[in-house]
Amino acid sequence: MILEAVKPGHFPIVASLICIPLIGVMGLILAGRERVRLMKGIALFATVSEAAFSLLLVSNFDAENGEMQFVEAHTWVSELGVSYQAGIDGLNLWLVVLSALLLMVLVISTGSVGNHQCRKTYFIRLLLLESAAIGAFVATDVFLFYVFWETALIPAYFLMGWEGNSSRRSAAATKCVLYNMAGGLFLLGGIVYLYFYYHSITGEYSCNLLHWYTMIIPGEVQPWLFLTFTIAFAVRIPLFPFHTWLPNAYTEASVGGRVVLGSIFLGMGCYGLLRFTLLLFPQAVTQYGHVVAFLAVFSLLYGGLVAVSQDDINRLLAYASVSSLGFAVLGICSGTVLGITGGVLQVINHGVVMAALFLMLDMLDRRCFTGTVGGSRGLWKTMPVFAFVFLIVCCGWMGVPGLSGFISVFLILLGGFRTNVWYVVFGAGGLVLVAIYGFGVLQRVFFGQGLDRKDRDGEDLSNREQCALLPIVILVFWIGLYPMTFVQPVETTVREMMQRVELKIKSASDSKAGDVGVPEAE
Amino acid sequence: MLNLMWIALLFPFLSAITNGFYGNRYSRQVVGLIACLGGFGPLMVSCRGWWDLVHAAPVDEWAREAVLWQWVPCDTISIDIGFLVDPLTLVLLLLVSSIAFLVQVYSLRYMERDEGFRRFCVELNLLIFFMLTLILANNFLLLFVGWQGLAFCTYLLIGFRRGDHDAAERSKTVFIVGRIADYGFLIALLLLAVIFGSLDFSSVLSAAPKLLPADGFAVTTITLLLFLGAAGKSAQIPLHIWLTDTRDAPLPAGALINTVTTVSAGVYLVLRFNVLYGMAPITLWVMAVTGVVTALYAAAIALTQFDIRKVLAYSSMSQFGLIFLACGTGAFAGGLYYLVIHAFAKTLLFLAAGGLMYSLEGEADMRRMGCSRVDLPWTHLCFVIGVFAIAGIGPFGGFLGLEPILWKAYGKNVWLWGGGVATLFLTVLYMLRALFLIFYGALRQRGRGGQSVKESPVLMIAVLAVLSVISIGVGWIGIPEALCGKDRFLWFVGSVFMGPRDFAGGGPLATVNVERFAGDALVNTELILAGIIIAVIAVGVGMAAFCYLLRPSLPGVISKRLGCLYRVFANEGYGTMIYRELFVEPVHQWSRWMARFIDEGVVEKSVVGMGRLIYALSAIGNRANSGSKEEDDT
Repeated sequence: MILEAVKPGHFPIVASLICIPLIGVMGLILAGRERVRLMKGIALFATVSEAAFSLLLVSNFDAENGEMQFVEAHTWVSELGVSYQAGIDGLNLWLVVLSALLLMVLVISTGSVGNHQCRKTYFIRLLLLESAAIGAFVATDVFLFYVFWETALIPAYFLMGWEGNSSRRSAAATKCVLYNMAGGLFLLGGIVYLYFYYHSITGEYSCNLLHWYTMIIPGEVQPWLFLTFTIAFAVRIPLFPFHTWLPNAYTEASVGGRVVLGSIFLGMGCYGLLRFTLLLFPQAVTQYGHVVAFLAVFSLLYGGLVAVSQDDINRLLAYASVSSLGFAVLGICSGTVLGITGGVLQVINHGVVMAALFLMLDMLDRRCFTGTVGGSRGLWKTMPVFAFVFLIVCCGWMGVPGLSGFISVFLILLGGFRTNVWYVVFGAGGLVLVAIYGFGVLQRVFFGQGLDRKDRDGEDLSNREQCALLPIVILVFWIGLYPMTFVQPVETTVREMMQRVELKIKSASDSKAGDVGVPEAE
Repeated sequence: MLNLMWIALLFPFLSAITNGFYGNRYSRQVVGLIACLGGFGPLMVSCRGWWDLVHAAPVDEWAREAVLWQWVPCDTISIDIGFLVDPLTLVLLLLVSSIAFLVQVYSLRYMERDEGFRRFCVELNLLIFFMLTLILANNFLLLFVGWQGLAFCTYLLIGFRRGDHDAAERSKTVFIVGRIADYGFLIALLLLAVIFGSLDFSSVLSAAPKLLPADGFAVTTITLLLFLGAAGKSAQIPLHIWLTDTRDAPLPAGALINTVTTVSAGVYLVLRFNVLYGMAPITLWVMAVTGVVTALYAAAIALTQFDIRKVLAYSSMSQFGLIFLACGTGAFAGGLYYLVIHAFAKTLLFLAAGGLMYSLEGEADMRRMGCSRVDLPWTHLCFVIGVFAIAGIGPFGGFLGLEPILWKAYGKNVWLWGGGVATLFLTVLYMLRALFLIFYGALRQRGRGGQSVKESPVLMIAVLAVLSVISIGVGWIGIPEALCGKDRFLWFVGSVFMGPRDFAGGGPLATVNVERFAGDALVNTELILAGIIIAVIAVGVGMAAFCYLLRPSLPGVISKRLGCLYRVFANEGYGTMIYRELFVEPVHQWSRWMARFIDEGVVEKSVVGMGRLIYALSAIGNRANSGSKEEDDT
């Protein structure tokens, strides 16, 4: 019956996904500073119900339908054409689910860390970021998207910079925010241009992305717009050479900040690239997409290579992120259904695995693990469950087939073959590199002297921690062994999208031929 | 039953899961019993499958497929979790499961005192699970699952004694060298997917002759890449350096890795895609040459080593070189046959060596073993049988397996044949050297009150005995026709290696193997060659007896004379060092250089510079602003 109630049209499920965290934030603000259990309860309730709602979304999602579903539209500022428009399709479905699930995992796992004063603000920031990220994922109104896109920076900044007082920390946070805001300016410029351009051809103001999809942008402007959008998204993904904010951010952020940054925040960049550039600038993508693909291949090799020699585990993971999202961008730029589907899946995989790695390294941290090469500890004897889960996650990360990482990379490379063989030949080298640095991480964590059994620090995972990691392990296996669940909705949407892209290119070239014909007639 | 062969996979998997998660609640005996089921189940299933295949199915229907579920359905490609059963699969299934079961029974006693017994059981069962997956898969991608899983389990087993930092470093090498090889495999897989639009063996292999021109660029590239993968798995030059690291694994696991699991996975890849290889003569040449070089090189190294585990590991590498030589000459069935013979004999030797180490409290240096034949009569007997089987002495398997291979090599090129015979000669030398050093040298000092060395427990001896019997008997299954046999083995697996029925000219065997001789002349030549081989073996036995029994000081003198050459082999060709200098160090240096110069130098500086520039501009503006203000004030 609940399932019936949330059928599209009955219940604003997308809006409630944005609002639930905000309600949680309200509750947290109202809760007294000392009432720790209450605060934990509120945060847990908000994230769990968010996750439940996202799963409801999945169960009601029609995988055969490539159009926007659960569409909600309300006018906001009618004079400017700004409205609240949101919907779910194959591109953002899993990103929404991933954000909701990971936030739940994060709250379960880190709910009792740190001192009480920090707890309240920590939860508030997490929930705010969740709301903003999900808002950006579901928004189909460009103005709304931009608002959420930039709003996400604020809680991200505080998650990174506020919790410690060290100057390095706030410097890293400032760098991250300034970098992303600078990227955001490019995005804003592009959006404003398109906004007025849309007005100039239709005579009305609209920010609806679905409307924008229908307009044909002149071939000579497209590359420039493509450039501005790509720079904005490349900063957030991040692609070489815009990646230098990430290592600092990972190193200085708290664990919550790292998880949210790594798995959700970076995913927003890839999502933007997918949602905006392919359908808005199809010609520019076919012309210059290979430049981005080259950049992607370069950054996946570069990130992998630099990661090999990093002593600090967080810096290593930052470069690993650059490398694996390079794969995702390669897939997205391939312009094939296989590649794009693989790219979306790669973003999901990256999110799951990074979150798991950060959480587990944090669990070790709390048991006095130093995270640098010197401080290796043996874990098999004292923490077998931890060791097992860590092994599974690392294997998923390294693309061992049968686990999550492999399928997406396989699809990406297969899709990439259609564009340029050399990208694939070099890109596959990234898999060799991931084995090298992935084993670096495994080695650091696993080998060396065992922790003393009597030592309290060497306790195995608590029930709470096991609960937190269970969904991640399930996902790693599920995506690896039965990826159909995840691939199908994405594939349907992508295929529809690519058909529209083809149509657009065709009609654009037709009208261009007409344009050329007119001066001749004169 | 043939459609349900995948059930074999469940046994090792469930066994690993049960022991892994709940094993700490059970006693060692129960854990051991559960572990053994992981090998016993597949053995029963494959026996039943073999029975069904031979007795029930007509020869045309010997290849059966069963699909469990759709795995990767996306756009133009659809890949299933599906399984294929044909004679090749069945032979390997029987081989792997029987040896795995025996090794598991053996390790019940061998690993008894080890504190990591449960973990060992889990890892061993996982290893078997992935090997069975690899054998049973009906498409490239599922095969790749088993392929990588094997590398992973090998890594786990080599790093079994995790306290040892060196072992940890080495176990990493296995996986990374494996990844380099897998790189070739992956690219080949992608190429196949793009060309054929499918990764199922049946569709790829049946469409290959139509879609790919024989001896064309595409098929050569694909097969070379696949061979890169196979060479990495089967420890062929230059991707062999990981093999000796297997000595860090517990010995029974080392035996499995060196015979029927990891190392033979590479050969399986070649055997399975024999149709493709048959179409690419260049690859076959590369394979044959690599095989023969590896065989000689490894045999030479084995002759200089003193660690019994290293001798056996290099011996495996050398024997697999011969198997690749066989495949390279188009004698795929012969390669498979020798794989089977070698697997039993080599497992026997490994386990016998394990028995020795068990009795001698972990001593692995052959010079210090000095065992008495009286103290360890059974181990001695089994070791002798193993040595004879590998060295091709007497009526044991080795000779009967090697003879057809060398004959085929002769058909391709005399030099290949010469290399093979030289390898055989070295094999006789190093195997007998090991035997004489261990059992016929000076007796070991009896420590601790003159106790004599105790024979291994009954269970271990029983396993050795079973393996000995099989080693003696297995060679008789497929006596080549030239030696008045029936070649039943070739008859059984023939349908796999003849290629698709519509492949003109009788399949890849015929296209590759140029029939130089005809009729009686053919048989006569084969008999003459067999005679030469027997003579070479006899000379080898004589020399070994002279060098290591009658004049034990002679080998030292000879090695001094050889000087530099000897040092190269004694140091295992400096393989690890070369690998480190050529691959590990450059990657790390590049990595450091890029991190320091490009990342922190160029990119980061320009970003910070941009920030500084803005500050500077703002300062200028500020000054201008305040300057004008001051003017106003004055």
